[in-house]
Amino acid sequence: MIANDKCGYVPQSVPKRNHISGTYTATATGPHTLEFYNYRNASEEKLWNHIDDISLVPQNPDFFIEDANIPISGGSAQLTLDAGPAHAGQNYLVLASFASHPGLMLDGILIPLNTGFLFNYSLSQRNSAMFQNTEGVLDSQGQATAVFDTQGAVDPKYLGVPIVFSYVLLDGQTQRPVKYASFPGLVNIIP
Amino acid sequence: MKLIFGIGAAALFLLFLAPGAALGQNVVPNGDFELQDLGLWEMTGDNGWVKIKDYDVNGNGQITWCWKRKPGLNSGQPFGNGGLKQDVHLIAGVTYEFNADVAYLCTC
Repeated sequence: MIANDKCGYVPQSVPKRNHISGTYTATATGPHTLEFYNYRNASEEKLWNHIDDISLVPQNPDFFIEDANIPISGGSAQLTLDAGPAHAGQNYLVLASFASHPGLMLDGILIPLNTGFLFNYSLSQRNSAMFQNTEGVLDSQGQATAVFDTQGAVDPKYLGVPIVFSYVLLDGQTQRPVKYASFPGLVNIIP
Repeated sequence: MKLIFGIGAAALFLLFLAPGAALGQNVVPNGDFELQDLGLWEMTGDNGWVKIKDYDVNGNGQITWCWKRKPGLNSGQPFGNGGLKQDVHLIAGVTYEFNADVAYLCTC
C-alpha cells in the first residue's frame, strides 16, 4: 500500500476532492500491477468515487519521452536526451528493444535493452525516417533530441507492449567503448 | 509485484518527494482516461456501477474524462468492493512518484 485515502462524510451534491501521492522504488525490472481498490462501507452506498490524472513518473531521469503513448493508428514520440554538461560534445546512439531486462553488458556498462529484432533494426536504421536523429553529438548542455515515428499504423500484436529506448555515449574516435548508458524510456502502443 | 492504492478506507498515508527533484515521463498509459474508455485498464471486483465520465475531479474548473465508480449497490444488497488495475513497466532501482486526483460525490 503506497497511498490510502478516506473520504469521510460527504454532503449531498457537494463533492469532496483530494490529491493522493506517494513514492515507490522498484526492486525488480518488468511489469508491476498498479491497482486502485475501493473499500466500501455501509454508509457509502450512494457515494460515487471519481479518479483522474493517474501518473507514475521516474525521478531524476536523463532521458525523457514526450507523447509516449502512440495510438495503434500511428504517430511519433519525441525523445529528449539530457546527460548533463559533463557529457557535452560526446557522441550518442539511441537504440530500442521490446524489453529492458536483463539488459546488455557492454564495455562494463549495463545498457537497459535486450538484443533482438528491434535492437538490431534500430541500430541498422539509425537516423532514418523511423528513427530520426538517433545518432549524433550532444550539444553544449549535454542534450539532444531524437524522434521515433512509426511511419503509419502499428501491427495490433504490439498493442500494450512497451517499446524501450535508451541511449549510450560512445568514444568519439573509435565509437567504442561505451562510456555511459541512460535510463530507459518507454513508448506505449495504445488503442 | 503489486502496487495498491486504497481509496475510501480508514487512513491516509502520504510520502512526499524531496524538493526540486526532476521528473520524467508518465509510465501509465491512459492514466487521464482521455481515450474516453478503459483503454489498458482492467476492472477488478464488483464493478457493476462504473463509467468513464466527464467531470471536474480536481476542482480547477476543467471538465475532463475520469473513471467513476459507485462503491456500493442499492440498499439491502451486498457491499461492492472493487477497483481498476493496469500492468506498468518499471525499472529496478528507479524511484517513481505517484499522483492521482480523487473526488467523492454523494447522490443521496
